[in-house]
Amino acid sequence: MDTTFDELGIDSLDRINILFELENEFDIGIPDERARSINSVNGIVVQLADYLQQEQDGRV
Amino acid sequence: MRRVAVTGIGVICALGRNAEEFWENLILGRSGVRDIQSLDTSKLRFHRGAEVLDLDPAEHFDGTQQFCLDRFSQFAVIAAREAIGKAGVTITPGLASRIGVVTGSSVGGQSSQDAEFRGLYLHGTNRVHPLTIPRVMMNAGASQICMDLGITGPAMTVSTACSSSNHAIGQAFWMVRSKQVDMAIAGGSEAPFSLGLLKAWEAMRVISQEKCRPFSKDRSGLILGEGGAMLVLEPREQALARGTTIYAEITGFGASADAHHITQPTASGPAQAMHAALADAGISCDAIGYVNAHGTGTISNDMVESRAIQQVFPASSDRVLVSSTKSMHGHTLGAAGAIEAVATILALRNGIVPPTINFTEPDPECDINLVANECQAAVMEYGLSNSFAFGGLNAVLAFRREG
Repeated sequence: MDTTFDELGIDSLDRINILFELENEFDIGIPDERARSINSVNGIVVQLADYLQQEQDGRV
Repeated sequence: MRRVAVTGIGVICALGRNAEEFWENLILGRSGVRDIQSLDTSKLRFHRGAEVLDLDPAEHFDGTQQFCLDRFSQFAVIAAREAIGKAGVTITPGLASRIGVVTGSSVGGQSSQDAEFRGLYLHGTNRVHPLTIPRVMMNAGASQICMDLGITGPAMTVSTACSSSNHAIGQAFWMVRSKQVDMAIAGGSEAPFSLGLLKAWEAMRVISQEKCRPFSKDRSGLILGEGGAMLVLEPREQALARGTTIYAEITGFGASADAHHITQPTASGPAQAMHAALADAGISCDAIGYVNAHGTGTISNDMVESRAIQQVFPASSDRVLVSSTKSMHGHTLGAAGAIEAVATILALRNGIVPPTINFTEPDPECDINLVANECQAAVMEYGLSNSFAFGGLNAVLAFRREG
């Protein structure tokens, strides 16, 4: 889970593609600042869970 | 081979409507970045841009021209008129076929396309304006310059994303140098403020929310800009014989392809292009006093460009002055090389290096001799102007101070 995108051979272009797919799948907008900390599989899970929780709480 | 002089310059961008205004604002370190006004940015994550405000096409163009020219072509023609006016050239029938025009544009008539397709997709108009193709086509700027000024020589457009106008100027320089033409108008223009294109830039995640801070540790991305700039190039002997003002000599053009990745830059490709420009000019790196950097303000470009500069100037990278004027006029994509060529030419001519504004903190990854926040007086014989593009296509121009 903590394997970084770098270690998985995921480059910057793959990364923005993943972010785009996440935005599409969950119908959300991920700001650049938050996107910057998404650099591993775990990063995706943590940020996404936090983001969806915030959305549920009406904070986004 | 002939030596080639720059005898005309023209600019329109967020920093000024002509070369004089542009230069004054440039050395004062003024920012042309404002809240974007030409469209509603509520659906965007960024709201800042370097637009040309209050441009009234009716002040520059008759009814037919207004009808036919997208904003990017308007910038091309306005800049070309200024450049040819400064060159003091009367375009006689004999000369007309000996003048070449080479323009650069990355995205062409974006706003015309966006407006027409919006009607088609959204409002069910089921027809688009019959002038959409001639407004949108990338070569519209070159064609409109030829028609406006009565030029009939070889004319073309180069499209290499953010390197477009450096490739265009380099190509025109070689055409004049090798006697294919006796004069050339070369540069580029861009008007990228359409919602579709801005959304596409947003998705790349390289746009700053606030300011463009090239080479600063806290840099957060680029700021898009619009505008155009043109140079008049002619044989130096001809310029001296005419007794016209020579703004600078253009002495070298170098280009390369990274052959690496569609968006990630390398240091070796840009370094190879800088080496090629020096070789084309027949000079060593020690002759260079100033590098107008590509300096977009993205994490990646500025780090990689700094490494490339260190590679090209191994002994003097702590001496050669570097600045990125994109901090003030934004990243104008296909017009960037041309606008920055004018900045480089005027820097050599006036002995003043324009600053990189918004700089707050040195980045150890960008170990270069940056002119930060305030302009700096310096006597420089040669300057380089860098342009690097998505797609890994690099183009570098070398200029020499005249006199």
